[in-house]
Amino acid sequence: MTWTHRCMIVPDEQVEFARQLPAAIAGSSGSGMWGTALSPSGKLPATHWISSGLLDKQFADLLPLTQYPNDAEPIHTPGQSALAAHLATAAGFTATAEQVQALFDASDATDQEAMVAMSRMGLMMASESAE
Amino acid sequence: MIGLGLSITQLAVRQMLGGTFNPLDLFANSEPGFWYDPSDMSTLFQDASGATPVTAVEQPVGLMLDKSGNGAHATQATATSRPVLSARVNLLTKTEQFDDGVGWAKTIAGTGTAPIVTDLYTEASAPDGTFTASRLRCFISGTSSGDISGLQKGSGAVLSTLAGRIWVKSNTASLQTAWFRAGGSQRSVTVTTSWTQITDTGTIDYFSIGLRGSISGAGLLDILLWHPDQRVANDGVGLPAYQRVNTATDYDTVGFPHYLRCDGIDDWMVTPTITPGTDKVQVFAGVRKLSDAAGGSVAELNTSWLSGSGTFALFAPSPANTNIASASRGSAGAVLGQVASDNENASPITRVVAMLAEISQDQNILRINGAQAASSTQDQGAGNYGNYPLYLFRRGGTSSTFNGHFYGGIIRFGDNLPIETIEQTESYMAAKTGVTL
Repeated sequence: MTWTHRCMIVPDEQVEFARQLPAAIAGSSGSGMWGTALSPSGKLPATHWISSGLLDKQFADLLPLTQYPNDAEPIHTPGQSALAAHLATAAGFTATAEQVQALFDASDATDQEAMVAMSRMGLMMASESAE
Repeated sequence: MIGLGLSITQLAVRQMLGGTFNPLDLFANSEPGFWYDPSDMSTLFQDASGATPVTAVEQPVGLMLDKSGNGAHATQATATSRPVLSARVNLLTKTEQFDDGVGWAKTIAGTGTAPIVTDLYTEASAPDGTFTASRLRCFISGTSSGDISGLQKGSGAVLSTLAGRIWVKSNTASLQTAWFRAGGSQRSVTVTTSWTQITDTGTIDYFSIGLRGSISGAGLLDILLWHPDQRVANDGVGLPAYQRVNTATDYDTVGFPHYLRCDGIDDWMVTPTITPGTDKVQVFAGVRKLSDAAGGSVAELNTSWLSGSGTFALFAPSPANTNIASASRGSAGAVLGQVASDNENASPITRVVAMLAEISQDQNILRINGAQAASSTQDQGAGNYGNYPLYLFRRGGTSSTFNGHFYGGIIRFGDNLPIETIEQTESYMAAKTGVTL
């Protein structure tokens, strides 16, 4: 299996749909994503949610990707919204290409380290409980 | 009290006979617990089901087998939440290919000409007698800071203190002056006709060598380069001074401790529910803590030590902003006084941490690098540790996510251990962690 690093940040209003999509396509390995809350102030409520780590390249290739090479303009590769919607629907979770594309458009998907992506977007991990 | 209540176990017998310490002996009387060893790749799998073994560094770990014999294997089903096996300390890439633009940018400015690099230079031997050195030729005619010809990597960002080093030698019969920085302020270095390792420390993410007019003066530089290495200054101390790194997934691993890299964002693992059956626990872990910005739960029994009764936790750092902490409680409600907190180990730092707790004796001792660092005698109530899963690297899988490296862990529910055994276990963990006690 080939793995590739992805950092994906989705807005709060899209997070429920975002969580269901990979769970349908990839099963248990796609369940439980976007469980870390983010906000500009570092306080709840969350404005965004982040998932960061190694993904199966086959799954990662469905997603959009923006790369930030040193001293160069960002490079954007669009996601495969129609294929993702088809795979999800075939697995029993009805999704349209338009819904998936709206999620992709609203999301920040890069190969950056999580802290770098969060800093670029002005987001911090939302505060946690005491001891 | 520590050191009391130990029966004559297989461990003691082995020690009396002068045998080698084996963590498995800690479980010789069928004590419940866990032993996780990321350096043993045969215990690691990329997926949670165990279908795909981990075969190399930089692969995700979805299943980590318990070596204690208790079958309490740790899993993570979600792909992006799996820690990654690593042994990396050198932050550079292409350490033996200076002519590769991915690892080394050719910096040209002002009167500078493009650096000429010859890797695997065959006209002069490297310090080890091989022909693996690289030749670097640069030229500038101006003497301002805007006159540059050299090799460079880095972003200029301010990081933790870095330690950089590289072997250099003049490729002519004369001394030469070069521009150099590897974390600290840029400076001139004299490159002699003998191989010399030049070093630098500082917090700036740069590694540069070549000519810069305001630093080295103008002229021609013709030198040999070998084995550059740049690591966080307190990481990899006592390890080989050079780690070959080709790419992020292709680098030397022999001699470098293996660890699970936990990203502090969403990486964690969990075990099945275990049955401690006792009110005594000993926890040993080798960790590198990368940040103190938010709490990090290294190991926590139950979804939170604050919930239920009969729980413990080991933090690096604690959610209450102390550097390293342990917590234990039985039936008593959770209060801050039950936490043993140390505040002398700011990140980034690598430590062997031990926690020795006994609910009925209101004992919670935190040891760091083989010495007691803190303790709590606050009332913990009564009862045994509860039947819960153990959460690794994230409280309940939802918060207090550990940001750092996990070199191994042993958790044992059973009679208190004699100090000799505690120290042996700490020494074992220190060897796994690359720490000298």
